[in-house]
Amino acid sequence: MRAAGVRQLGAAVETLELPAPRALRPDEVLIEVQASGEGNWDEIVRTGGWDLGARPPLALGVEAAGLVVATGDRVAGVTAGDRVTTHSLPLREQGAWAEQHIAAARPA
Amino acid sequence: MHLLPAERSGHRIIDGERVCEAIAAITCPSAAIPARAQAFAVLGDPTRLTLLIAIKAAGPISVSDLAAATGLNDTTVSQTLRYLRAAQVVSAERDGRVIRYQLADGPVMALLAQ
Repeated sequence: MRAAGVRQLGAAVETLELPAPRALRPDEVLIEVQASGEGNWDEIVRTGGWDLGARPPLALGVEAAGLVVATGDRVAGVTAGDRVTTHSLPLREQGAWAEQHIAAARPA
Repeated sequence: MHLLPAERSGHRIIDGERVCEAIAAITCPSAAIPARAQAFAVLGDPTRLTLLIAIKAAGPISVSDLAAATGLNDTTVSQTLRYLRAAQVVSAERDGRVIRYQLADGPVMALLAQ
C-alpha cells in the first residue's frame, strides 16, 4: 500500500510502498483511511524524539478517520462499513498516513 | 577508574570513585535518559502543564470542562490534548458524544505525582 513516511528516522518524508497490512489480532480493526491528521508531534516522531512502538520504514501520522473494512475476532460494537476516527497508540503496525491503518478497537 | 572509557583516560581526575559513581548512574538501564528527557520536555510548557495538573486532579474530564476550568479556549485545549495523546501522556474515552481525558500510566504521571 502507499503511505507517506520515512525510510529511516530523521529522513525526509516521502511516498513509501509498504507491505499490505498484516492479519488482524483479535482486538484490532482495519481502517480504510479517508483523512489523517498532522501536527508538530509528527515532526518529533520523524526525528526520533518519540518512540511510537514501530520502526522505519514507517508511515507517520497518529490520527485517522475512515471506514472500517475488517475487524478482529473479539471486536464488539464496531463492524465493517462503520465510519470511525482513531488515535491508536502505541502504533499497532504503521502510522495513519497510509491507505489502510490497523488500530486498537477502543471506543474513543 | 574501571568505568572510565579509554578515550577519556587523559582527563585530569580528582576523585576517581566519584567519577565511577557518576558513570554508573548515567549508564545503568534505569537512568532511561532519553525517555525521561522526553517526559520533562512534555512538562516544560505552561499550557501543557496546566492541563495535565487539571486532568490529574479531575480526570476523566472533557475539553469544554477543561477550558472552563483553565480559562484556555476550546481550540487551545483541543490542540494541546492532541499533542498529549500523541505523546501517550493522556488517553481518551468516549461516552456517547462526550470524550473525556485522563492521565495514562507512564513516566509523566510519575513526575506529576512528585
